[in-house]
Amino acid sequence: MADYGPEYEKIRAAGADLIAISVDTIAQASAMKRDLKLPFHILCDTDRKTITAWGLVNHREREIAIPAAFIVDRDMRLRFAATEGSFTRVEPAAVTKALAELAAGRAISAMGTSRTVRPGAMFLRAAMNALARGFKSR
Amino acid sequence: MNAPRRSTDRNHDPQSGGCDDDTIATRRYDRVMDENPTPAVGAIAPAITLEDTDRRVRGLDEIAAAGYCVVVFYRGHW
Repeated sequence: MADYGPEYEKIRAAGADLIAISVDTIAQASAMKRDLKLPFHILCDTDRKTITAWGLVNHREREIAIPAAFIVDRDMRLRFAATEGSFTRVEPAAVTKALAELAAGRAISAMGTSRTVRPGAMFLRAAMNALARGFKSR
Repeated sequence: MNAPRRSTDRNHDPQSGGCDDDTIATRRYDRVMDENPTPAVGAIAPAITLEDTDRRVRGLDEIAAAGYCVVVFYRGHW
């Protein structure tokens, strides 16, 4: 999760937010949030209800979560989905890149319809940075 | 001589059963551990209502309403 700390600023700049979910207790999640100085919400799915609904229960390892990352839009529709094996992680850069692509798509359509949807240099710069980083890290 | 012919055998269609009509990207690796399907791109996200580290109840719908929400599932301390 530590890698998402530095990415969070970019995610916020792109007009998005982030929540992180595991089956940890509140005490365990609080300790991680404090130790890694994580600025985003960490949610605790101790009864596994959420990871069950999302098809992300790792039955091989004490019903912990299978690492995955999604992007949900304001209508609750999934716009990005990435799941991985039990010992690998979804790269935060891939998520930021997808977010930048979504943001860029929205910016283009906003221009076309002359509606102003979160315009601004900061928004575009965040998208460009994310794209550049994404290419470099691959 | 009377070998049966299967004219409409589509069992080998590699495109079937997938959900590759997404707009951005769907990455699949070696996840085989949960028999429940993971929601695909384009689907409505299953609701999330959970306590955060301050014991405040957070809903995905309320967070996503402000814009995009990245939802990250992680292994956690175990």
